Amino acid sequence: MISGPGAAMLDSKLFVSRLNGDFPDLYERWWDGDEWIWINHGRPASSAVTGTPGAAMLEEKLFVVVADGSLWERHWRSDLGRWAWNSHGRPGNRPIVHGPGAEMMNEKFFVVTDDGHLWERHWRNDQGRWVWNDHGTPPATTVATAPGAAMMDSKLFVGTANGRLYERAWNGTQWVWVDHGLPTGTSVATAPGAAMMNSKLFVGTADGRLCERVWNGSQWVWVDHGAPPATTVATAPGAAMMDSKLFVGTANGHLYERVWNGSRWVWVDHDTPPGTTVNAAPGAAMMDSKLFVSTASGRLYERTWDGARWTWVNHGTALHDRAEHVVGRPGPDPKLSILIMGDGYAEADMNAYRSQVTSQVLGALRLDLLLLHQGAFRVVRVDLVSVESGVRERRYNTRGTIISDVFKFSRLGLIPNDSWDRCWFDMSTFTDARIEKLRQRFAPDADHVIVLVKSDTWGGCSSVGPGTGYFTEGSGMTTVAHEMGHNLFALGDEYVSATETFTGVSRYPNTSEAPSEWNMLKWFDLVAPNTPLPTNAARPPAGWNRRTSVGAFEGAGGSYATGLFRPVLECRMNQNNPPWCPVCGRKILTDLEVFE
Amino acid sequence: MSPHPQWRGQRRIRVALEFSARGIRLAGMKPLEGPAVQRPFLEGSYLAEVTVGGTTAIVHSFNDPRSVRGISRPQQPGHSFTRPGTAVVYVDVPIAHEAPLGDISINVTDLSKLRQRPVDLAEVQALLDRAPKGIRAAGRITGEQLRAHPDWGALGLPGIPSAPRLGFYEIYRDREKQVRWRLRHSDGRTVAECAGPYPSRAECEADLRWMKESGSRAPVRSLDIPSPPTAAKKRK
Repeated sequence: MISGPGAAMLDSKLFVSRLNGDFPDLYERWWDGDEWIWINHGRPASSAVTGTPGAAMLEEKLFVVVADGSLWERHWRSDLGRWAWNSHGRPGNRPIVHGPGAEMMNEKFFVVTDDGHLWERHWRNDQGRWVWNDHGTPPATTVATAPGAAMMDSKLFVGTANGRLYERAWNGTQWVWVDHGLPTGTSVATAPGAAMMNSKLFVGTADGRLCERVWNGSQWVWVDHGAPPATTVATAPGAAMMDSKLFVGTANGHLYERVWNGSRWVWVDHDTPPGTTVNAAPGAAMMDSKLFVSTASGRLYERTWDGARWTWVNHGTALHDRAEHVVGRPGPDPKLSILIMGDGYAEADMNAYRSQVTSQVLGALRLDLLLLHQGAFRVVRVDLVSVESGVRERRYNTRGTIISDVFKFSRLGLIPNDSWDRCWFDMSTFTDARIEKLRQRFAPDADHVIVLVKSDTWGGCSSVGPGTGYFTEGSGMTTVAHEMGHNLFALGDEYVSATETFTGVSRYPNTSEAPSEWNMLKWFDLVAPNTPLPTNAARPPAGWNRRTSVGAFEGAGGSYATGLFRPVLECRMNQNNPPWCPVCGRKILTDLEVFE
Repeated sequence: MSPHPQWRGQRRIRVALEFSARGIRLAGMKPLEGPAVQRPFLEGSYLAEVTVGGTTAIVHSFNDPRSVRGISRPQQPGHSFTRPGTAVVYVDVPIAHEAPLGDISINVTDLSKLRQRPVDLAEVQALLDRAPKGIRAAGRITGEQLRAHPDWGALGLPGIPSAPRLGFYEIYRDREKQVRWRLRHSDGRTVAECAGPYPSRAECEADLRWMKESGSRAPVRSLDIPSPPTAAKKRK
């Protein structure tokens, strides 16, 4: 679960508090120029963050309340080039229960403590420090909502325990309480918000209506906006835009817009985010065209105008991408470096993803002789969090026409196509750049990247040498091992599935053309004694071990039934499951030796 | 970390080369700690010979990056091959920690048409020197190209001032010799330009100052969102 969205900055970031799981931390959702990503800001003094972040100032600081009710500032220290936590403590040693809100002049904002007092936190430039000012309680009642609807750098509004709206205003001499009374026939039930034109604000009421408190030029009056059709207002109003619209969450989980259309106020139903409901006040409005809501599913959703219509954008659960060295340690010593990441794994899939990495990729890297040479490797696993589980799936017919294309939004945009002659995968336009960005961030020294793709299909597609390889979960450890034989150690295929004749000179260490003299065979020193060369696969010598006895069997390189020879009858570069043969093993050891 | 005979330098610049039908392009650079590794076998169909200060520092080998391989179908051995439009390979340039950096060049050679060739380093270098028929020069990245790339200033190399990867405003004169400005992204793209020419450079500079001081924080106004339909009822 996450708090409501708050503390929007630069039209490109906002903050939420994550309220459950292993990371009860402050999270930033940031558009990095390529995609929205989650950044974990951690928690101050090991105390879980609990409230909606707010009071963003100067595009570089915001405030959040933690579990013990104290206030913390998260501040971008440009002098240090990093974010820092600063403690603001508890006002009057009372825990904060509402706020922060009602920021003014980039130097003050307000919170509410558990005894119903309104407190101001003020940067006193003359004193060079922050101070707490106790504004006390409104007459004969206490503050019961977050402070909001700051106006003119000198007033703000709160809802009180007796259901009234109170203004706290600086009259030029002192701060005073101004009683705005009760909305007609009901009481204030939400924090005030959506201030507009320094003369109006909105509240949700106890009977589920939206009420406006507006200065009509001579006095403050209540304007009843009623309830949205067939439902009631359930959150504070927020995400005011263009001095003419605001948004609320409703009891049926919809997002509703209340907008002045030029002649009257109308309700616009934005429906529910797909598969879930709105459960907190809308916030973090940006560019008059997007806002964010938290949902019952724990996901953050964006409601955005895409140029033609309003659409929902799933931002997923607040969980950051993380990297872990799963083989070897960070360091400058050269290693055969591999970066593993997943596509289509949402937060709920992360344990399964890690298991897949262990069983398929790390399992492949521990096969046979590799187990004894783990010191040559540096393997980094990136837990890349997609906003939804699974990836886009596309299918073609035999004429190459797309017959189905089921969209899902995954981080790397890999699209399994279940087609061997289409390399099993289509790529999105951003796939390569996204992978490169992650490589630069998490493992810039990676020689090879392996991507596990969450799909039920079979498939794997890989660069011919070091580069990037993509595999679905179903492709299996031995398939990954075979491909790594190609990518990491430049081994050739030892199988044959066609009838062509090889006429060239093999560059691969484990396949060979017929040499002019068989004692010139590149692996002659490994040939079993008294072995006829070439060796007849149908009638190998007595006692022949199909996996370890080395000869020269015709047929290799995938296509060549004749003219190209392989050293053994069974090898990982042939049938995938058997271990690498002695000839492949020698090449692997030579390649790894420079990294040990 | 005891040095291995096949380790080169103390640091390395990892250079990204993008292969396409048009040739080879310098795609980026990143500094990495630790030596580059001279691999013992050079079996790939391409070689990248890296020279630093006129001496061969390392030779890399790789297969055609624009060839990708699909895994076998279940119960049916055999790879499929396809060819993407572009692909990137990485070439490490070994450098010393403090020593002045000599001029760097990267020569990429295509050996795929060569019927027979050695794979060990010494013989490969002799082959490159002989340059027999069948060898094709696939591309060359010069020191000048490296120094002109936006990544160069961020490498933190000795003697090279570091430059943050910001975009920048350019003041220039158009064909009519009038002063204009444009804003370039750090990747070189023009992302904004002035609405028209300025009568003087001073007025151009004044607008740039205004944009730098306040323009970056100016709110975005969306004027492309229509209002909901109007109706007869009057606003209270």
